[in-house]
Amino acid sequence: MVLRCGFRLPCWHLMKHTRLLHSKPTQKHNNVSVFKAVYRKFATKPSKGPGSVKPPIEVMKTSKVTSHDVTARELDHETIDVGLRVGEKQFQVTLENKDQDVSFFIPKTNDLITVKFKKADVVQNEVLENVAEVNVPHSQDKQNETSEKKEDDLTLDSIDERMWRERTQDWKKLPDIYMKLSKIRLTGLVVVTSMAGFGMAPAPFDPALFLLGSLGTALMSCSANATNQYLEVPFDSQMNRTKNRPIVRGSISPLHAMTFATVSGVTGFTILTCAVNPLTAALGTFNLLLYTCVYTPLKRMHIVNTWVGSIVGAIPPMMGWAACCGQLDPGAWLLGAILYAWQFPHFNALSWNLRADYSRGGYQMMSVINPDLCKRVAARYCVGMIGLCSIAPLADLTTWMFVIDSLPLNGYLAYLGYRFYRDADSKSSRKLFRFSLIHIPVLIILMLLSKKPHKQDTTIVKKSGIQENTVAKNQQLTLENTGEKSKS
Amino acid sequence: MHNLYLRRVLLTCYNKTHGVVNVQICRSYCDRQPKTDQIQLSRKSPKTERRDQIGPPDVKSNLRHVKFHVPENETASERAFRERMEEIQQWNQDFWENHNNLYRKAKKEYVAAKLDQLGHFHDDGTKRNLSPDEMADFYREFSIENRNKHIRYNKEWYKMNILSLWPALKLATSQIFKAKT
Repeated sequence: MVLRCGFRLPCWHLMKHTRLLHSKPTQKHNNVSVFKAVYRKFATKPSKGPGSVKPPIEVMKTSKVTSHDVTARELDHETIDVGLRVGEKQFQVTLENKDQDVSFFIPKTNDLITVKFKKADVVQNEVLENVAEVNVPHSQDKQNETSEKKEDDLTLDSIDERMWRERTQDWKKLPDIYMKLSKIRLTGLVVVTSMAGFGMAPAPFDPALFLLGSLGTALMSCSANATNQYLEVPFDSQMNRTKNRPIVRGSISPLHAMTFATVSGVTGFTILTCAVNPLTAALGTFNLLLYTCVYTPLKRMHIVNTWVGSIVGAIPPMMGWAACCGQLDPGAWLLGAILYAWQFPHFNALSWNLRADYSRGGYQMMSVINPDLCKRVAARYCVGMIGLCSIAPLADLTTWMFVIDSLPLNGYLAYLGYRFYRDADSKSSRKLFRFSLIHIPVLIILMLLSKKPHKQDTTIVKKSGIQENTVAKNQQLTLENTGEKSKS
Repeated sequence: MHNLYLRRVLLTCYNKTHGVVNVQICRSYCDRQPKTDQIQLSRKSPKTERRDQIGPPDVKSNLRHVKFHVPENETASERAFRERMEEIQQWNQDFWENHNNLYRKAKKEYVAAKLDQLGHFHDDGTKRNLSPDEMADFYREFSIENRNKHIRYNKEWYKMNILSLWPALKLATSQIFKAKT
């Protein structure tokens, strides 16, 4: 048997084999997605004005794959089993008689490698090893790649943006879908802020309570996000930012998504009520309802949605605080206020570059309806952040050290907020948005480092100590009493 | 050991901003001197239907359509549910197709008017493209004009979406029991 390693076009064969690869349960490496394909815009529309014609340069990336090996053995005349090694990864593929080529798409490097098999004198059960080795050339055009062109890239995450496909439920993919459904990064941020609230609260640290509180908060956040996605399907379809969400893509049914939302929401609520405290559970439920029933529809109604959304972001740290000490002290409110203020530079800067999408998608966003207000509010809250962090010692939240060491961080945020206010272009808004992502975790760390050592701890311990002593004495007395009674 | 040449693969497809364009699909390799190839992917749905088929995003409405699988012995409730889902899908399609057409038309008119006002070329002879700031007026006006329409649509969609959840649940549970017996 002669195997020839050649390369051919990713025509229908790619689709056939991608399906073949996925339907095979024996395939061990599910993490390599053959479905993924990045389409790049090749030529922009030739413009009519003089002097602006761009040469149609290929945008390419250097390949990491230097070689691949092909092993093939023919089991019978119907099928052919192929072992392939691409880079460090190995594949087992079964090809049918008609289709004797297989394509791999390597998402990060943008390489499509198609291996074609030619049938020759077939010897049954012959095993060939290391049949072919191929050098994949490196791209020479990398220097021509400019940042401007990168923005022009028409990126497709999946081949199903061009093709029809069957609705199948792959159980192995379910965790990934659930993570997307619960917007895992957003949930992560929510949990981190609630952990910060827990850590800042002036009560002794209880690890079990901490874990249960975080878990409950995370589950309720998952539930809120899944419900949000269930409600927003046609709207999410319209925007590039959201069009790859799982219900939009059809990788999970609305019913399944809502079942997930209900189960995780009820579990989270039960954990918070039974293992933490009812106040935390109430705050969580309030936030869930505020997000799904008020904020989500309000996006189409009025620009006030940004403020409502900020309240939603402010509640998780208060939940953490409530989980720790069972009540909301001034410190909890201040922590909430800091998170509330943070939402504005974060979201306003994000929405600034999405104005076209928001306008088309029917959203009533501040950046669209009132751009001046959008800039002003973002800058205002950036400056306000300095003020809020300065009064933290007054609310017994931190030491005065925090005021000093948070100053450069907030100062830079205020500077970027001012730049956004002054320039109001995509560059300044992007800068502000990116910095806001770094700002909040760093601020939380600084806050935890300069947490005010609370004296209440010791008094509580002393009090409980006294109580224990008295209880013990009482018990002794009752024992003596019963002893006397039994004697008499 | 082969040395391979780079081959450019172009895909003809439809792009919202540029109309029909050729896209470089990705690089591929061949063992002979390369030439540019052009392929076209079909947007038609496949014929065999063992399960529901999910389509690519619709060019006009951006929605992904589902072709529902019709089982051989379809019960009345299954049929009713399927038809209801198809109805909702068509209703969504109509709304977004209309709306996106409206947007495209309005934007074109606005850009033309604005360019007439400002001049089609910069002073140095290059073609003028409207900046996001110059487009901001259009975005605002379009959003405000269509606000009531969207609120009505939103309400109606929530109603349909939530009401279809219950029959979906009933069908799913009955199918589970059917599979067990």
